[in-house]
Amino acid sequence: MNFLTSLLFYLANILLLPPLLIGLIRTGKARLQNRRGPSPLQVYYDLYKLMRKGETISQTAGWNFLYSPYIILAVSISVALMIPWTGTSSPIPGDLFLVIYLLALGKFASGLAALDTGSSFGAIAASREAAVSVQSEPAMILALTALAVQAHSSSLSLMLTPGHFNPTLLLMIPLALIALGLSILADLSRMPVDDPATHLELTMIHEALILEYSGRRLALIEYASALRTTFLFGLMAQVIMLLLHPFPPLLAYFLSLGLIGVCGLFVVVMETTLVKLRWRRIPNLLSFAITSGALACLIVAMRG
Amino acid sequence: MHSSLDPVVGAIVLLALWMVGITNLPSKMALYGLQTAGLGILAVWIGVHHHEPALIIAGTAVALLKGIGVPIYLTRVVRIIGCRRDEGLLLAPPLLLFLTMAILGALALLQPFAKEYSADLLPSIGLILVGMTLMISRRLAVSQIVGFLVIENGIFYYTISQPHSMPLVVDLGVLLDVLVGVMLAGALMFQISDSFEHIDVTELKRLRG
Repeated sequence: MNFLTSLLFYLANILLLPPLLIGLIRTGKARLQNRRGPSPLQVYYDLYKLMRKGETISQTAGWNFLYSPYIILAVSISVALMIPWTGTSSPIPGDLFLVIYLLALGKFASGLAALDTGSSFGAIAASREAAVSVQSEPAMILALTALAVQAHSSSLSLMLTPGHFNPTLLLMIPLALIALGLSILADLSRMPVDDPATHLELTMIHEALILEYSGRRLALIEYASALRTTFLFGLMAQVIMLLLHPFPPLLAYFLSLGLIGVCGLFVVVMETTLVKLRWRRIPNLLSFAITSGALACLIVAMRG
Repeated sequence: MHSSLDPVVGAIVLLALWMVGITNLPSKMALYGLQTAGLGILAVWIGVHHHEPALIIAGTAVALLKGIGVPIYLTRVVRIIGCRRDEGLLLAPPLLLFLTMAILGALALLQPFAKEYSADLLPSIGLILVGMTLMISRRLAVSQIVGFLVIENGIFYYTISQPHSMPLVVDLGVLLDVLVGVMLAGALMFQISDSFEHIDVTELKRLRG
């Protein structure tokens, strides 16, 4: 596939898939809780409605608050173009560390914006978000580094191409998946760490970060967070597919979509059955992620 | 030993490592059961592969009695005594998890030297170290029993990985000893919790006459 078709293909996926995934997760949660729930397409309507609405911006807000939604969206889209999350090679060859730091840049921008308006809930959320991401980031880096050492390359598209199978992978990939999965759940503010459906500002992390936004900027942030969910789940799907044989592109695409759906289903079940962890027990959960990532690295290093 | 079994052995050591970080006692027992059942099945597999009926019998006995029986028994004891959580003694569980992992990493550096003796020495030493960490790091008496059992698993792994395994009588004798030990320890815990209303071993020191 040449550059232009690949770019168009990725942009179409980036534009269309994320709201659908979030809508499916919400519908699934509603069904498991014996509610009818909105249609999966509701997220598209919500985004459309928000785009047309006027905004309320605090008088004390500076340029940080005004521009950070655009920074977050730009960062998310560029990372989505670098990770081969649809199962076909990505238009921009992304490097592992570049991707990690771009994701961190997005979090930094949203934290600054939350501090900018001077609301106390925003400040609490920014400090919490930073504390969680300090713990979740090493796990993600370690897990991806294990894959990079295995593939002898830090380029994401080379790392995620299935090579020849060896028994080391049977232990290494599940470990990397545990590390990635837990850190992604923490990054996306999903259930054991943060409750996305909460209405109490004191317990929020992600929701309190965007408390001050409204209208078009809120739509951009919501869409960027949906996009992040989609491509991080897609990254997990690619890691799972490393265990399987290489597929032709079309099959790989549909298999990735299926696995992203399975990740969504997993989140639905987790959010229905588990409760949110107490804030001080989160390091306990994430220490398992870091240990799994470090062990994955250790196993790869031992096998050379 | 066959190198295709490495993931299984790795998973067994990994389960022991996770037990260090867990504070919920029933899930700790479940992890122990999973690990021991895996070890028993591994012994059966090796026995089938090398045509050693002694290993098959010992493996089956270990998987059933120690892998399923002991965790159920200990979980019941814990439920009756009424303690579900076991916090760390000196270090918080996450820090202890990192420390134990560092020890295992240092052990992995020894691998080139271990080749001269037996490549299977390292996992069993790893299991023994993790078991010792479990024994010294927790407050409740149950955790010390579990740590002791993990140490025993390390020794059992060493015996099954040797080319000429132990006679069946020895393996089953050790198994019987361990079972009796666990039974007695469980009964003792009831006594301790009846007399002192808790099973926190750090408090027992003050009660010396």
